Amino acid sequence: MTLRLAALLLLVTSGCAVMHSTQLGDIDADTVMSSKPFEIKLSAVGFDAQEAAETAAAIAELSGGSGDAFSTVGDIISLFQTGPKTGKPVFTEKYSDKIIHELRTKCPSGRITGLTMVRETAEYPVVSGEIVKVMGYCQGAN
Amino acid sequence: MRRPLLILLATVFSGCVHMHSLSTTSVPVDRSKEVEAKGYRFIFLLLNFDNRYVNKLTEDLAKQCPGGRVEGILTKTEGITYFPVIAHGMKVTAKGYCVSGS
Repeated sequence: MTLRLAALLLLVTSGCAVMHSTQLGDIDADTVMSSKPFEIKLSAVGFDAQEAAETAAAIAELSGGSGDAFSTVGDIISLFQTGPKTGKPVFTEKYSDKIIHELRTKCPSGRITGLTMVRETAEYPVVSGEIVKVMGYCQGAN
Repeated sequence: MRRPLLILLATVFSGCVHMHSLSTTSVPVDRSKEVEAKGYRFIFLLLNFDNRYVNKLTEDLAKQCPGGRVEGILTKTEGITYFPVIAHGMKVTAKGYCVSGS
């Protein structure tokens, strides 16, 4: 019972915000001090197939079975997921392409300053939220 | 005696700093006034639920440069490991130059 509760708590509380990168743009001090900031958040669901296979293997072994097949699948998947990356794999990276359109919508005047770009992950077991967050200030919008 | 000493040394010197990202904007000619802002979060047991500590960086820099523009901003994101799994930190440093408004 205690073990189950601990496992449940671990699952619930393990959603963590992981920061990958931050980038600040040039700042017009007067605009920043006189206007309200806007925020744009774009995200996609990340899915770690290798982690899923490893979890399945561990569960199979705990249940008295053999997790070898799952482990093999995990090993094969890992061969296709090499190289530097941030967060978990997503099915398409195009979710971030909407930034320009969203910026135009948030600031029709186009005079944007103090842009902060954050790449972060909301991490959960097996899946994740892969997030690109943009904050900025729009000249002429109060 | 030697083993506990080795373990102690390993834990004391295991603190590492990892560079996550680095970026800069165009550097101005006038670099006479430097401004800097920092965001920091201590992370216990790898539990961190948001990254809002970076939201105030722009405002902090703007406050140091009233009526001007902050240009040539170097943004550095670092991860610090004080003790594996237990104690970590995230630090974002933004350093730029205040250019008087014309």
